[in-house]
Amino acid sequence: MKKYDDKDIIKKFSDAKDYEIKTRSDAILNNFLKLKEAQTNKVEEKKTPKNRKMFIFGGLGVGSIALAAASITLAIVFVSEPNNPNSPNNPSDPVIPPSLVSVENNTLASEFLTFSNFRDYGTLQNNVKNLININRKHQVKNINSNSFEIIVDNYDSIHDGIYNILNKDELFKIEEKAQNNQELYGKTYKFVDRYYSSSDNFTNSFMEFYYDDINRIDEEETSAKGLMKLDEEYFDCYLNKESEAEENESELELELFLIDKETEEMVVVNKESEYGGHESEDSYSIAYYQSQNDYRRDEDKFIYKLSYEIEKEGREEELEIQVETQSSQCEYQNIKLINDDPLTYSFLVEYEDERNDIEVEDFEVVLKYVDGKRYYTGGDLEEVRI
Amino acid sequence: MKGSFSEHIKRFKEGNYISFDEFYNELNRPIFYNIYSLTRNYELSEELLQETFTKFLMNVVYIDEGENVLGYLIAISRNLTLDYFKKYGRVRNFEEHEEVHVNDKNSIDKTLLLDKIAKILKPKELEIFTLHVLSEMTFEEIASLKKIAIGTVLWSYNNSIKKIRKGLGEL
Repeated sequence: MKKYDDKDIIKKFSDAKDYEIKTRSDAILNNFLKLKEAQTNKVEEKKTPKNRKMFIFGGLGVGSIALAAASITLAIVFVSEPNNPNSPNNPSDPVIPPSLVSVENNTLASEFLTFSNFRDYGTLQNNVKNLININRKHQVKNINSNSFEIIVDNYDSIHDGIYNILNKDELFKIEEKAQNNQELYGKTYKFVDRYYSSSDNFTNSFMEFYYDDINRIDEEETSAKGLMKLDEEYFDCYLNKESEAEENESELELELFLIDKETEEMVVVNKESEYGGHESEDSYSIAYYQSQNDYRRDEDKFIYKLSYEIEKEGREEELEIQVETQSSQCEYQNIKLINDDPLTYSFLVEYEDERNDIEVEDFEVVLKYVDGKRYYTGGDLEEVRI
Repeated sequence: MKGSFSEHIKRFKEGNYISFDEFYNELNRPIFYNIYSLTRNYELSEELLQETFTKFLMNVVYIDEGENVLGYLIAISRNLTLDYFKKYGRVRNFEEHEEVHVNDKNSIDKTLLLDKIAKILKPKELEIFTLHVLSEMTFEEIASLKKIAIGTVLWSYNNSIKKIRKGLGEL
């Protein structure tokens, strides 16, 4: 098709192009660095005194291992140059040893890492609870204060993971393919990848992945097996990844299995990701089983299973999380940021608990972070977690 | 018009902003005029331009190195501008128009012309028109950005030119 003669019209606008843009690049950089520093401070303020490394991957939860393993295997694909010493880094940024390479520029790896926080689902260890019940007797919609407390407990046990999905502000680095001479469980793996966290300024690895090779079956399919070490525990790890990329579009499917060397607990992670232009859709699930046999006999025989879907279109992001046990099912829908200062999120809850005879639908909860405390408000009820 | 920005993106992801000035100077004009086509106000466009690039840097770790950076920035700038209008309404915008009228003769013509054209063209036509005329993007780039066939872009643009000629009379 031929373009029409548009010279006269374009001429009309030519003056506008003489305008000299006043905004300078250094002003933008300064503004960005200030915002980044403020964001880092806000996150630090929000975090509980609990050790950050432990918060990410610590404890006995097998799920955290699964996530960690997934992140390791995916991160292998991505290698970036060491930091340029001349770069005007934010002074608040930790100093990263030049031997470490980026993990966070792999969006998928970052997402896997954030989900380690969900290991605490349903538990409230060391969590100081302070219930402020504005009107205990009053039934709000279909919820009473006891149900509200359960809903808040469950959400609060994974709030940090949700925060990280929405904000993605964790920083991890990896020492890739280091030579290994250590014998583990009767085998000496050729290589080890060591993972470091900004929480301790990248000084100690919190996780290690031992392996001989990454099996690249073809351009689209990769598989790997190895041994994962985390908090002095070891896990057999198997991964299969398929990815397909075309211009402006990509798809990824991932399956990951981890088996605790001592307890034989098993974790199964599934991840699907689609990206096209300015839209993306991710779905993820992590299921915990008492043993391999349980998983083989019945995939639905999990101890608990957490799944999420996140849809992104332009700047709009919609997150939905579902947690299932053998007797309950809870969905947190449309989790979204409604205020930056104080940090405030809202979400809708659907909760069904056969054992405790609770059924809640479309119940809106607002979560506000103030002075290191988390205020949950729903109807006339409010609870605070520290 | 725009080369690959993958090296810049890679550096920014590593916290190295040494080439940001070069990156910014190559991309600021199409982004600025894209914003200006919506605001018709230079001062406000400057503010939103700064916000666009700041937002871009805040999110750079999530951008693929092969991403269409110009398209990404244009999407951010449009969303930020529309958010601005949602938040503050158009009142401030019109008030500032008045200031522009008083201070800048060139701006008067441009602003009035854009206002008129915005009334003549459909939103999608206006977008393609301004991306080509103000942001100086080629039809191929617009087609790639909007993920539509180049023939559709040309058809829309030619249609816009016809409508503008008819709507504005003698130019």
